Amino acid sequence: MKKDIKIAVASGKGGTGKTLVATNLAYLLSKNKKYQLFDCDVEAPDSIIFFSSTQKILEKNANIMIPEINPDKCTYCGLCADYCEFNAIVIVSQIKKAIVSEDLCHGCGLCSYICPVNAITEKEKPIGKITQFRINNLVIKEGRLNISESTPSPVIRSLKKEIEPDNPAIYDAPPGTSCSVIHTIHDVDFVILVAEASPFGFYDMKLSIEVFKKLNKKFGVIINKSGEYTDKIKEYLKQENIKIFTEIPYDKEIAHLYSEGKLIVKELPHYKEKFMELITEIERMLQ
Amino acid sequence: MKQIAILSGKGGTGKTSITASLAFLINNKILVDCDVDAPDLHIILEPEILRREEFKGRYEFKILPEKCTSCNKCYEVCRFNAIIKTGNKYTIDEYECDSCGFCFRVCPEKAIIKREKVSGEWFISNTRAGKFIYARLYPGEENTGKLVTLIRYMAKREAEDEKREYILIDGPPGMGCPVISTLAGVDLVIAVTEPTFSGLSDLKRLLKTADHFEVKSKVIINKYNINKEVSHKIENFCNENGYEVVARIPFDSVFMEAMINRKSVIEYAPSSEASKILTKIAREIQ
Repeated sequence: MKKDIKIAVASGKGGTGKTLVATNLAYLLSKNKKYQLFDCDVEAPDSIIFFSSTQKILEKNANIMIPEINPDKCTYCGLCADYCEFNAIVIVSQIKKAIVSEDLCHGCGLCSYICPVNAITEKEKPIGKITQFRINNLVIKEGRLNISESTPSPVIRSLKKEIEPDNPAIYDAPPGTSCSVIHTIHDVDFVILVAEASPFGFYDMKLSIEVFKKLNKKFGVIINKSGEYTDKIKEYLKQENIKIFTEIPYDKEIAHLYSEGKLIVKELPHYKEKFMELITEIERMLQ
Repeated sequence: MKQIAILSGKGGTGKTSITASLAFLINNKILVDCDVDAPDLHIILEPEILRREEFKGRYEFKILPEKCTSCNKCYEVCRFNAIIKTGNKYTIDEYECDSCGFCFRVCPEKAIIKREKVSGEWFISNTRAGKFIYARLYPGEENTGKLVTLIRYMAKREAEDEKREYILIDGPPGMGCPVISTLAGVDLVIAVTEPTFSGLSDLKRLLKTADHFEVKSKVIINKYNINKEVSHKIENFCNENGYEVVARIPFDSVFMEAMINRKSVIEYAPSSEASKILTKIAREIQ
């Protein structure tokens, strides 16, 4: 396999088992080589729960640059407000007021660049935290959006800058199909799509497939909580010629282990083989 | 008018299944699905669409190759790595682009154009459970928050026109933009959690977010018997921090069976234990 392979684990619906697959896979793969696990679900980061006795090796803020308008220099011409696509600046020239809505700012830097009198400087605003933990060969890199902050993408971008490009990585993606998912998966070599065997899971899986196809991603599917509805999903995937890796049954034992933050490959050895097979198949697909 | 939002932080805890039943138990309401990224409630409700509209969420920018002189200015200013250079050819990566317009403003050749982009659609519909408003953001799009705000506005208008007492909202997972847009101005959050460490961790983050926006929250522990110890932990946390636990719903295959039959639990198995609990929840939140 490519030495520095990057694999994302994604799903349309939430709660299908992304984190289950990502953590177990990262644990297994890091047994005999250095691996990285990125928790890109920055709104609800849970990967770290599945690893005990980790050592925290780094913690820092994820920042965006927001404008600060100097009232002594500002002529209240309103150009910055006109140009800002996010309506983050309001200028009321009559009363000489310039207001920046920090919550709306995306930190693009356009306002400070175009200000004709250089009245705008930028300052860092923390919107999340990046933390790194080490356990044996595995480094877990987690992004965590601050409470009440609304934009996950800048945190994901900062997080992904922590990559050691020469070492392989697993990315635990956020649910859904919007921008934060794209920012997580756009540069990976392969995506594992975790689908839940239910009508909701089926519908949301099709949405994810649409995204992967648009991005020209190689991908395959794991069917989780497999049961009565599995055949419907399988039939569709076969028709579409999409690779099905494996099925994980709906199983109370798995649910219980997961609920306590335990890795199933440690407790249920036959899953170890399933996950190892998965890697062999991905290798084959990438050849 | 009272607005109630069903949220969870963690995905897959049962928001939509619970909302689907509450939709039949709370009368005199408008129903909204604010999970515009992966909407599922319509799968149960099989809506008859009354009105469909496009959602123009943002502008898109495009480089005209015939005007571009490859001066590199756009590449220098873009903070989102959205300008792709292939030899002398410059293009914009539509997925990386944040639509800030920096490139468009600085291009000396005016080789970059700006145009409105349709990034989703929304619907007003009729269902077995009454009027239902939902939307679909196209894959890879931004501005989920804006679309949520838009359909909530439409719901409010409908509710006012039809003199409805409630707006019942099926919310998105997470705590980011669409959740914050879902929280704005609601009267009550019903936080649906599950007894897993992940569920508890995400519940705490969600409740903090709701507190920040000064919205009252009540908690439902779904599938509570999957791990009773963790369920106790959740209850203790809620008691200590003043959040009422309104219900504990046991794990029951009736939820999956109902979904497979495109029914809410209350329609599919009205005399089940789950239906009794759901009826009680509906009474308590009204």
